[in-house]
Amino acid sequence: MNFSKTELMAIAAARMIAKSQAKTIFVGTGLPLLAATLAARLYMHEITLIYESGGISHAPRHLPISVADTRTYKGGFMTTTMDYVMSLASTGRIDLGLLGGAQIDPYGNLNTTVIGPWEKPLVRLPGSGGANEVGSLSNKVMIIMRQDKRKFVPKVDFITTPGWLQGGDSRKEAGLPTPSGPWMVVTQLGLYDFNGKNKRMRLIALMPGVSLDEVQSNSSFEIEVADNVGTICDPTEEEIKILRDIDKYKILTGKEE
Amino acid sequence: MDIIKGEGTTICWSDPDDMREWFAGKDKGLRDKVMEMREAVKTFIKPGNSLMFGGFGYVRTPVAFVHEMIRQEIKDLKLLMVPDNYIYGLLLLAGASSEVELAFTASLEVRGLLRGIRKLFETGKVKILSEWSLGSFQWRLRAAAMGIPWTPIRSLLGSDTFRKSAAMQVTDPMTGKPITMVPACWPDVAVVPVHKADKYGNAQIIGPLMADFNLVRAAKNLVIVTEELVSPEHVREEPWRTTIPHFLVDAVVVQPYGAHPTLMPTKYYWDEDHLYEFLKVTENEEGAREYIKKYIIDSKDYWDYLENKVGLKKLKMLEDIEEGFMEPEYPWVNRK
Repeated sequence: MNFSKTELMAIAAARMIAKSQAKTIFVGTGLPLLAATLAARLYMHEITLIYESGGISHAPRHLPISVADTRTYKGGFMTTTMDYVMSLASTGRIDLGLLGGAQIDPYGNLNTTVIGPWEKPLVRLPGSGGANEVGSLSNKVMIIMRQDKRKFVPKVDFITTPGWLQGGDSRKEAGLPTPSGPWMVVTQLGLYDFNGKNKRMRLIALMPGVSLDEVQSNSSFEIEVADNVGTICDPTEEEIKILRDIDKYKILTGKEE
Repeated sequence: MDIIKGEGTTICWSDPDDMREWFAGKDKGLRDKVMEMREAVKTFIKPGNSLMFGGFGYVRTPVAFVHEMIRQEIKDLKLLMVPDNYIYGLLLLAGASSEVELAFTASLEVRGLLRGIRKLFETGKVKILSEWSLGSFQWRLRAAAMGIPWTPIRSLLGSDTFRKSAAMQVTDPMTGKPITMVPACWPDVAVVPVHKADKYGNAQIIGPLMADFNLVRAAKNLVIVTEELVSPEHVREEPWRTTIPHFLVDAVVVQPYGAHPTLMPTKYYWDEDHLYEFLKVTENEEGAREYIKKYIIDSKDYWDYLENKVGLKKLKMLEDIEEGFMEPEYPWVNRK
């Protein structure tokens, strides 16, 4: 069965969400939402998705196009306030937060604010939205984003959302809550964790057909490689079928490469 | 104690006692506050005001009110863009504000980025006074709603979002750990769309309340725009549905379909064709000017816009989609 890179990323991410055993998940629009919905439909029926706008629900039938889409809470558990859901994260009740980003550095710090200097931007991006809270306050964070030399950079132009900051104990020293912080990164090329020396991003698995060279040549910093790098299995027919049913309007999977 | 200050500034902080005096001086009586849109804009929106809208980006947003603001050529506003997109974007493109505090901008989420609005920031035409996140900003509103000067929060720490905010960082005397202090925010005016309200302003909102739960108690002046005017008896039959009590409200404006082309939960869906047009034509200044002229300036009022630029058939279709009777279509899919 043919599949696109976007579909592969969503499926790999969904498997990792299942592996994390997270029951309460803070989701943003786009790929994170697709991956979480897939995880809920395929592997973990006890997942609750929580949206920054105040929706709390089980997996939607079809992919919502916004974090405040009626589909995020139709048939769900509760609609409430932003204060309420952000405070859930602040009290340690969000098992996993899902984020994307325009730039990431080796410590999982994320930029969605600006490319170039803030004072004189080359490109102005949307800013934090709820990302700073998702990244600061969730018990752990998974980042889903495309990887290339402009996105994987030694130092992000602006830390919109803190990762492990400068590595080591710097995140805790900054006063950010424990437990929290980046746990995994999923790209179209591989899977990364932060269990390496000094909390640097580390390759733990390759996507099917991807070489180590490709991983390195699509990053502006040298990527550490774990001792036993695995390879992600091809998506199953069932995974693809359900994924395409969730994104039946082809909001994400229609946009290709 | 070491205090680290963010480099940004805020325009919505005041001494809580000054705010107490403001709220103490307001007439909180049970009185008819129904007002025409034109009059509400004229009465409550003044140059220099800090302004925040209810709803979420492009869900339950006061589009009708913003149209009237643009028709009245209101300028020099300070916008609190939390979470921004369609209506704040309209005001920026119309030149209504050149100084903002923001947490999110220039994005229609999966539909794409609003290039014309990005350009306003990139060229320095619109100045960002301070950067925030959604959580930190809405906690500022909670502090204001509690009548306290600031509140401790545990986000923003370690980030450049903090560095460009107007927050402070201190060592918490209880835990000895660093903690963020965000200043309270009392917007001069908030405009909040609701589903139902009586003439006194007792109002019901369906769906997520977003930041509105705190915003309506933080704002110095509160205008609600209601889809439907209902009898006071209707509200009192089910008071547990009331999300805003009358004495917080200064004016009640009635405008059905007042949030088009944004979504009104359980009432009508996004007008995706319209949003796609907005996304495309506002990429350059001329397109933005034409859009504003065609849909807003050339409309006598919002009813004129609804009748002649949107149409009954379209509105009915958007209701059917939201109800689940019709499938939505996304013109931007595959065309990004």
